[in-house]
Order: sequence, then structure tokens, then C-alpha cells
Amino acid sequence: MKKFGILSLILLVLFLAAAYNYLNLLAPFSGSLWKQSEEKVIPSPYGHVKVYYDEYGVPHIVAENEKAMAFAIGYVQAKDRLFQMDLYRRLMKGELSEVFGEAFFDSDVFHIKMDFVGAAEASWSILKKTELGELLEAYSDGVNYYIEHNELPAEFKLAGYKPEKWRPEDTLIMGKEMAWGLTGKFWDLKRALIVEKLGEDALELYPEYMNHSYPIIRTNVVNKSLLDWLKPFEAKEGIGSNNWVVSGKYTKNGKPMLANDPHLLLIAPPVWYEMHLQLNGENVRGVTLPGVPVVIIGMNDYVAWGFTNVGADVIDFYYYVWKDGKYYYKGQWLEPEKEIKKVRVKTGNGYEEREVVVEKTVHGPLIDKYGSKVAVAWTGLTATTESLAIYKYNHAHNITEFMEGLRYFDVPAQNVVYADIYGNIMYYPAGKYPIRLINGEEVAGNIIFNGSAGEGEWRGFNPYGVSTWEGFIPFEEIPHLINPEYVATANQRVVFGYQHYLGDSMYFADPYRGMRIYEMLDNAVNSGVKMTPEFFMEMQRDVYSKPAEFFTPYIFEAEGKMSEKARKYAEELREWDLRMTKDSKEALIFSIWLKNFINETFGDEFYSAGLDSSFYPHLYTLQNLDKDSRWFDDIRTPEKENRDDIAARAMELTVKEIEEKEYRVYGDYNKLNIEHPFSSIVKFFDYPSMPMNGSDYTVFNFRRAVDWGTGLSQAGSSWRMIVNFDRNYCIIPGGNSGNYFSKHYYDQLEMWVNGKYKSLDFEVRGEKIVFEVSK
Amino acid sequence: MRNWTKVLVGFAIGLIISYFHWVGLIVGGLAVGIASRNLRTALAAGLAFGIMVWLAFITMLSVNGMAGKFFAMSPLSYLSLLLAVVATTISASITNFFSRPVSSKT
Repeated sequence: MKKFGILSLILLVLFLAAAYNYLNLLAPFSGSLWKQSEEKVIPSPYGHVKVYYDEYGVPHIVAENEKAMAFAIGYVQAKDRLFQMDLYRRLMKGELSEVFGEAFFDSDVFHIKMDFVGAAEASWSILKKTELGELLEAYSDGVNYYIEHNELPAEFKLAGYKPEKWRPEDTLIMGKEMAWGLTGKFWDLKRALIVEKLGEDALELYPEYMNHSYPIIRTNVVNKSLLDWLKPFEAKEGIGSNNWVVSGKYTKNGKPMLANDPHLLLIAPPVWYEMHLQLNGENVRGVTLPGVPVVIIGMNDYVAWGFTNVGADVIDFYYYVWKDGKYYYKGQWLEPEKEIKKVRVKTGNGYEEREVVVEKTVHGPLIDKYGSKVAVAWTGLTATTESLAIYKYNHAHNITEFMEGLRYFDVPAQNVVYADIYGNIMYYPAGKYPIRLINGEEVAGNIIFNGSAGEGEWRGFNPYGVSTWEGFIPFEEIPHLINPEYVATANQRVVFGYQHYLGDSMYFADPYRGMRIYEMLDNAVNSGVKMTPEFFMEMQRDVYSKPAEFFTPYIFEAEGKMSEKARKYAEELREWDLRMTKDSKEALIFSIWLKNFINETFGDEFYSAGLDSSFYPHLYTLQNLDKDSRWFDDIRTPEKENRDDIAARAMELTVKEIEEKEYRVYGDYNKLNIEHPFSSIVKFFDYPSMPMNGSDYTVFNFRRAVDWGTGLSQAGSSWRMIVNFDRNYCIIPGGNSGNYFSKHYYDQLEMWVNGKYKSLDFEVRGEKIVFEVSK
Repeated sequence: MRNWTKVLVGFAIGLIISYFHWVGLIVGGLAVGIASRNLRTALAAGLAFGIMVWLAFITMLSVNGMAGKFFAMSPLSYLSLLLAVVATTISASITNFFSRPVSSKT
């Protein structure tokens, strides 16, 4: 019998050896995957702080001094979002392949070559001497205390690694990440490729201006392989935002009213983290990026502010004459600054160390791939002070103090709207805008410049150092409005007829959202009815489709060329209210028709030239093409097609798709699928799927399929905020906690889907944790 | 003490330790094995103990409103059950083999 006992013992030993890690991770009760941090009293070297988590998991942080506050913010952000913080840090530092495998090696190569770390270090070199410096250090201490003494989020346990210590530079790299995501566009390179493949004539599709009436202020160097490689790393199409601000003259409570909803990637957990800070009786509340200790969009007791992306051209590319590894620059042969960086890559056979060569010219980092070699100048690749600007917004008591902060806002250039309790409102597209010169003449920045001749270079710009910015548009000359009656921004062109180049039409969004917002504001003002927060909520929920208004007549005109069935579908649009609601069949028909109409118009020319849909022009350009434009002709057929032929063909395809996929209403097609970064491996971190209202072009913004280069993702309102200083409201798409088992993992999601709000107030409440002074 | 009482005591000790560390699964399995009359009942008791620990864990998750999310983690949620029952059943068989002559007299 004992022989069998020994065999069982051996079996147990073998089981424990094989399952040891799984037992540590998954054993009932004790498995680390089920554990959450439950610390209630935390020692702090900086001072006493109380943190109250309210009914939505929003921390209300009450501190006795600012450094103690920063330490506590670091702790709570790590508690709720540590994995997200580390993920974006790894992305920007080029360290993803070390933990997630060689599929991420290209991403690491790109980010290392761009040397975002060097840019963040340059920012730190100047910020550490400011009032923000010691706060970033205290914040890092708070994050690191959490890492050392608490349960790590589930993602670290599943991926099998522990985050490194947080440093102030890591906070600054979060800002670089957001800035690059909003302004790091390779349009200049794409434009050059379009000219090469489709000829100069194709530039008619990409005019300098889109001819609309709703600006904010109403007055062979590249190849396709390079662009394909760069595509996953550039700012995404479909990232946009809305904000507007109305003078107290038109509001019911007589105070200014402000709304903002930035449209960003919809991801689990959300891009933003909400927090309320209270120091010396003064409050500030809003959202920040996890990893950043100040409120980026929000309000304090005196002022409120919101952002949309200006989208201006703040990135340029330079080519050179090369000889023996040297580049020619203004009469001299220069050696590019070269550094070899090592990347640790997780492979199927263990870890490998690979080398990445980082090269820089006087203009910036070199991207050298598939025989193309261009240097990149981007305003974020130098010491920038936007975090100091935002710190000053948090502390502003009035418009003067707020404007002092605006001067520090470098990148990404943002349409800042402002309101205060004294009745002031403001619009200021703050940021650094380069002025390009060739032979002393100012030129547009949408071309690839001859770097050897020093063309188009930015005076006063010192990549990876401290810039003096004298070759940029002076702050005072940036077009802005102080105390207008109302103003709305939706990433449309800032102003027409401005003396400096800010970007061509491809840098700015289609004007549809801007048009609609201005229409609603104009109607409200003209009706004489005073605006309330509820009216702003209706505006943010608005799903009226301006494209449907402009394009449905094209469908009706083409009915004569449609089959009977397609015509029946087209006829259904006659009585439609043009609203993209989830229970509407008409919205379904129109949405799929529009997708097909765009593809059928441009697909033949573009795909046959090797250019994919990311090279297509704006929808507004298509809307304004002549009915017999050559772009409507299908070059694959002997006949000459016009707009009616293509509109009819698009409807035939729409009927086929709807019937094949058995869609009944728009919500069957327009579904919310918010994924976690681990979604390709495990699905449980993803948020529940549900039908959605809205589209790419509606004010209630939901983009069901944004081409991410590596696949499709979704984008939309990442934070909705309405402020009238008496009653303020907000919502995020998901929940404030990134911890899967938290009840706040996605407790706001359904409200967000349905356009509902929660209160944005300064009332301190909820479960408490305390930071005590450590001995 | 009667066998089933010993088995119950083994269950209790194993459950308490399991709350803090998975070694409780082994301890509990060994305890119920030693108290079982023969190999068959030891294996059954080990299996039952593993399932009981897992069910107790699910109960705790339910009370905390986490059970739905736990089951959404499939197959990880069921792997936790598998780990528990394999650990407890093998452990129960070990002690039962060694304790058989003693247990057969009782």
C-alpha cells in the first residue's frame, strides 16, 4: 500500500511543479488574480490626505498641502489604472516587445527612433526647476509606493511582469503620447505619394481650404511601403472633438455655459481618469490622463475649460543629399548623430537582445525604411511646457491667470474654450505653430522640404533641447476670441484668410459637426429661449446627420438607374428625419450606402494605384464634386459613369449587404465594441457590446470602425462635460477603475451610451482611505 | 472521534488555510484522506473538499457582486475549479494509502 502512497506523493509533486504558477494565480480565495488592494491607511512622507471614493469610484482628494496631494494622486491613479499607465509608458519608450512579444517590435523600433524619451527628458530639464517639478516627484513617489506595497492589477499577473519605478519623465511622456496621437500625422508624405501615383491633378481632392462657411471664427521621396509601416503609429483619422461656450447673455442662470466632448479611442479602461482635488478649501475637478497629476479638462471654483484638437500642421519632413553616410546641409557634409539602443524582445525561444539605430539630423530623428530616408520635425520633440500650462489652469482664479497658463501650452495645439464665474468666455487655439520659409517667403508645410538646402526649417526649434520658438506664430497673433457671444469648435478650420499657414484641408475635419453645432446655437439664440444644461445635453445627444441632408438628394436623383428593390430602399429615405438613431432602418440604409458610395467613387482609382482608403479625400470634398467629375467614372469599365451611376450602384451593394447580414436597424450594424488591450488574447476585460446612436459626423459622436493600421478600433466621446457653474454634469465611456473586479469597471457605460450624465460637483463623499504622515 | 467528524474537521481546517494560501487545498486533502475509511471514500472526500472550497469561494464572490465577472473569465474560472479538485483529490489519496491499516480497524 505504501508503494501506491509514494506514487501518489510523486504525482502530487509533479502536479505542484506543473501547476505552481497557476495555483498562485488562480487558486480559490488565495489566487492573486482575485485580490484587490484593500489598504485603508497609507503612510505618506508629505502630509495628511483623505481620499473619498464616491458612488462612481471618483476619488475626492482632500489634502493639507500640494505635495501630499500629488503623492495621493499618484497612489490612487496607480490603484485604479497602473496597467494603463505602464502600457502607454512602454509604448512610448519602445518596450512593448519585452513583455508582449516580437509582434510589437516594429512599434518599438518606431518609438525608439523617434526618441520620445529624449523629448520627455528635455521637458523635464526645464520643468524640474518650476513649481511643478517637486509635485511630479511626489506624484512618482505615490505611484511607486503603490507598486511596492500593493496588489498589482490582473493584467500584470497574466502577462507575468512587474512595472518599473515611475519617474517624473514618465508623466511627461504621457503628454507626448497624447500630443503625438493628436498631431503626429504623415499627411505630407501621403500627399507626395498621391501626386506620384495619381498625378498633380489629384490634388483637386485635397484643396487648401474646404469651401464651407463654418470655420470656428466665422470671418519620390516616399514610398507606399514606408507609409504602410508608419500607419499604425500616426495620429488616427476620426480623432476629433466638440466644444462650445456661450455667454451668460443667452443662458437661463445668466452665467456662461461650456460644453466639451473630446473624441478619442474608445478603450477599456477609458482614456481619461476622473478626479476631484481639494486643497486649502479650493476645488478642481475633471479628467486627466492616468500618469498625470493635474486635471487636464475640467473646472475649478472660478473657471472651466475644455479642449478640442486644432489639428494644425505641426510636423514637417525633410529629405537630404547623402554621400558616404553623411548628409549635405547648407554647404557642409554632416554626420548624423547616431546612437545604438538595445531592445529586449520576448520570442518563442526566450528573450533576444536586438539593436535599433537611432539617427538624428539638425531637423530631428531620421526614419529610414524601404529605401526612404526622411527627418521628422515635430513640435513635441523638444522641451515643452504644456503640463505647466495645465497646472496653471487648475489654479487659475480668473481669465488673466488662465491666459498666463495658455502661453505655456506648446503641444498638441488645442482649441481651448474657457468660461468663468465673472461672465467671461474665451476661445484660444493655444499652441506652437511653425512658420516655414523658402528664400524668405512663407510657404505651406504640406510638402517634403529639401533639408539639404535648409528649406522650411523652424527657427528657434531645438530638437531634444530647449527651443526659443522665435520662428513660430507669436502667441498674441494666434487668432482668438475674448468674450464673443458664443463660439463652437469641432476640429474644423480655425479661420479663413489668416496670414499664416496652419494646415491644408486634410489637417482639419469635415465641417459637418461644426455646422450642426452652430446651427443649434444660432437657432437657440434666435428663438430667444435661454439655454440651460438640459439644452446642452440635447446638443451633445444630437444625432442629426448633415451628410444625410446633403447626400440623400443624390440618392433620389439616381433612383432611375436603380433596380426595383434598390429603389424601394431609396424611397424609404424620403420620410426620414435624418437622425442616426439605433432603431432606425433609414439610418442603416444611409450609413451603408454612404460607405459604398465613397468606395465606389474612389476605390477604382486609388486601389489600382496601390493606395488604400486612408488616402481618400474628405467627405465634404466628395459632396462638392461636380456630378460629372472624372472621379465618378469607374476606370475599370468602358462606359463613362457619373454620380448617378455610382449612387445607384452603391444602393445595389447596400441592399445586398443588409440582406446578407440580416441587419434590421442601424443598431444591428452600429454596435459599440469597446476592447481592452488584451482583447486578442482574452475577451473578459472587454466592455459589453450594445447598439449605438450616432455616426462619424454627428455631434453625438460614435465612430464604429477607425482604421488603426493594425486593425479597426472604435472612437467617440471620451468625456462629456457641461458646466454652467450652478449645475455641472459629466460622464466617461466606461468606468473610473481599470480593475476588472471593481464595481466601477464600467458602471458609467450604459449611461454614456444613452446620453445620460452624472453630477460634476465638489461634494466630498464616499468610502475613505487616509494618508498619514510617516515617521 | 467518528470518521465523518474527522473528515469534517479536515474540511474546516483545509478551508480556513485555503482562504489564505492554496497550500490549504493540500492540507485539507491530506486531512480528509487520512480520515477516510478506504481509498474510494478518500478520493470522494478529496473531490468533495475541492468542490466545496471552490463553491465557498464562489459564494464569497457572489456576496461581493463579483461572481458574474468571475464566470465571464472562462476558461480561467473553471481552471480554478480544476486546480482545486486535482490538488485535493491527489492529496487525499496519499494519506489514505499510508493510513489504510489504521482506518480499516475503526
